[in-house]
Amino acid sequence: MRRFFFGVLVLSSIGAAYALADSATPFREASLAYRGGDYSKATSLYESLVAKSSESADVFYNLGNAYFKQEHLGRAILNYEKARRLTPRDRDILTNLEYVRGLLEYKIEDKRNWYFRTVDFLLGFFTQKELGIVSLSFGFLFWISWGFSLYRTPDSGWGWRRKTLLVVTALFLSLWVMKSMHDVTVQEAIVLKSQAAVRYGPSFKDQVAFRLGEGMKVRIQKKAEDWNRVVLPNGETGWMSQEELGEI
Amino acid sequence: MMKRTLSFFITLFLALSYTVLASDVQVITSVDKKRVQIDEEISLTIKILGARGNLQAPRLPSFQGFDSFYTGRTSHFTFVNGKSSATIEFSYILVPKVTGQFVLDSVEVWIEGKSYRTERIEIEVIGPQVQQQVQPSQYPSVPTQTAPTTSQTSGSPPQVVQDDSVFVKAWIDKQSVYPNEQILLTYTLYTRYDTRYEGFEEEPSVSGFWIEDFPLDRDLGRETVLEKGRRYVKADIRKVALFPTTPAPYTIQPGVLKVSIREEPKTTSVFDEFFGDSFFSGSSFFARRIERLLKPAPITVTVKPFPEKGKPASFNGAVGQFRLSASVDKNEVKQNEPVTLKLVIEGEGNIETLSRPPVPELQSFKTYDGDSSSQLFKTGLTIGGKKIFEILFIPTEAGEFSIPPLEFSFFDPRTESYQTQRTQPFPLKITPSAEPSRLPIGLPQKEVFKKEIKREAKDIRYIHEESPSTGTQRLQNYLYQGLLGLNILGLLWVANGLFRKRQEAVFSQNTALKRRKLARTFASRRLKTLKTLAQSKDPRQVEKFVGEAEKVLSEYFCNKFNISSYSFTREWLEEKLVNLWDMQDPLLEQIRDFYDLVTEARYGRGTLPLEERQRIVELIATVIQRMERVS
Repeated sequence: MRRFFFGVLVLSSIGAAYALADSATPFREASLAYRGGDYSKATSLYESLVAKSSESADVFYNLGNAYFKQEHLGRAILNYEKARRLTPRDRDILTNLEYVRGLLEYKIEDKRNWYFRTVDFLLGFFTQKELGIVSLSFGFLFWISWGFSLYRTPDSGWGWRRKTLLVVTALFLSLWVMKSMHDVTVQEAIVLKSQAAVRYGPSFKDQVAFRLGEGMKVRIQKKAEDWNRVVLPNGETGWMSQEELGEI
Repeated sequence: MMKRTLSFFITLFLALSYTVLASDVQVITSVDKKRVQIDEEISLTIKILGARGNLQAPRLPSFQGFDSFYTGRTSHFTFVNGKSSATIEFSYILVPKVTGQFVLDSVEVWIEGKSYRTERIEIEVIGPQVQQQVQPSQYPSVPTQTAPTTSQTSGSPPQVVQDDSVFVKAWIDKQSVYPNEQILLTYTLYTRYDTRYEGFEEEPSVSGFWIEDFPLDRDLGRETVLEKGRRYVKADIRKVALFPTTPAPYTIQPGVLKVSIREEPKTTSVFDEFFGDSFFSGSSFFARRIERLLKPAPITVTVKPFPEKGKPASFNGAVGQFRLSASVDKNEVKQNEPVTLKLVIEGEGNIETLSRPPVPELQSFKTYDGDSSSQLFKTGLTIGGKKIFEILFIPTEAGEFSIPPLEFSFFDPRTESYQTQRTQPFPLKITPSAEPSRLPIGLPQKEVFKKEIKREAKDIRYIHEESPSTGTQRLQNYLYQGLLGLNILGLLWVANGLFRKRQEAVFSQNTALKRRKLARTFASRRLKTLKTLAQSKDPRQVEKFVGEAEKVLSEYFCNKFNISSYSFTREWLEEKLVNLWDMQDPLLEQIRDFYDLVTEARYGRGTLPLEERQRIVELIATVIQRMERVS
């Protein structure tokens, strides 16, 4: 039995090493192209890595940089946002995102209430998995604490330690649930074209309500074929063509 | 201390002189007016001429219809042509409260054990000046000396009261100033009583100002003034220099100060004799005093912004009149060896808040701030002083260089103009050295590096060149799944614990139920032992097997039917089982055979082969199963 498990472990390690080596080569090539100033080549190589379903913050970050060097601010922001979803506290990603946002032509005032903004900030500060790990860790400690008191005679009762654990667990659990719901229900996107038209309806026949600059973030509220109903942080809504948006 | 000692000897000398140079004693009483209105004050003076020795302030008799206050004493001593003469005046204020014709009783004065009486004085009080006029006959007797009507009684906490006879004015010398320009805030006490300044009960609220107190003179200068037609003694009791920090209109709350007013002299000390004119300072040590809180009116001041016209680039908020001087500790140094430039700014103004003149960036030097110190001087009513800045220059190259002139600008409020002063350039000869650059001891700890890192340009940060590692993600996944599993186990563990706790609670109430429910559990445990014994090839184990088999089945029935093992018989069992099962049930017959076999085996009359033992084990298991189905 032990031999079997050992064999599985060795085989899976070899497989993982091969997979890593396979993706490492184009990554290195892309980085060399970026260093040599061939941003177009770097972009296509990084894109090929993304297409291989390589969910890596580093790849998205580098791709954002490569797009920025080619002055595609919208695509740069889109990839920085994707990178930020995977590693929300990476200083490089946050700095570049802030810098590129500072170059945008348009600015939308966030008119949401402070508590929505605070919750958004808190949820954006952690990944779903991180919140899950923290919640489960506290949850496990809580079960241990409760279990020991149940099997102990006499019962030690609910002390302040277990009450604190329960509160902390409940807090992180709520954040985890909120983050999971947010990730499932809220779909955000970045405007990829400059002067992108936001219309009153989902067709080119509908009148243009207003225009958005490249790189602006919108929230997709509804989808209808190739059209998305978007909501801006200031509450404005309208319909945008799918090709003008990049979903995060 | 010195002054007190000196006062004591002078007093002693004068007291002795009195005994030698005494002349006839005369006591004279006088008032400044004899016809007054209600609440109009009358000054009563008791003058004693030619008195010797210690004199107590005369105690006034009860003047019905008057409030009376002791307001102090004055002494005069003259020495003319070898003859001395002494005059002591005791002053009182009388405030009439009712109208009518009054005769002030004579006052008794004791001098050297002899009693002297003053003459009576007639006073006419006319009215009405007050809303309620009371006839003299109806007015209650007034104590000999009382506190002013607006004051509280001695012993209770002092309160802020309005009294025209004692008040404080807080005033400033300028109404409109520039930031950092000195304003002199003065507190002047006006009083008609014997008053002593006791300090501030509530300090002035001067946020937005840098403040500097002037020391109070021991002997407060005082003068007699007429204020709104009344005579007051006034004295400046506190002076504060204020330096506003930012331009804005300000309201200064001057705080609350405490004074005590002499109410009635009971005794007097030797010091009262000649120096005991206790206004503001001494007073009789044993005098009864009442405390008063005085609150001056708030003061407004406007702080103007600095004029923009002609404002030098080096101006950093210095206001006043200053002089700048500079020196270096050496003119010739080795490379990487520090040179200290000492800047001294002295003059009158906001010395404490002066900042160092700016030092231009020098290519061949590293510059650091060294020590800085300041000294304040209070000259008259102006704050001045000296501030010293030390700047360290560490040459990084060899050659001939110079420390350029440093510029210091200040605003002179007198001329309302900016003044700029410069230091001279200091040529330095730097000789090459291989010694590494080293900061003087103590400087690195102070963290006063002058230069700050400045970003020259802004761009995005560089790409991440290391191949993306999936290790962290994989670890997170394992951790997540592991914790999820542990939580499920934890949940089950807790659920089991809760179930057991509940079961224990029920069983503790019902023992029969406990036996019935746990009969199978106990029997199953023993059945395992029985199975082991059934496998044994040792003939000596047969007896043990038979005994154990009987115990398992019998105890199971005892638990199931909740009876004691002593009450268990085959007849009782048959009766019970017949009720449960059919009479013709083959299992019933097998149980009878089992007990026959057990009896035979116990007395060694039968053999028990392996197959038979296994059949017994199966039989017991079947009986238990059957019984559990029925119940």
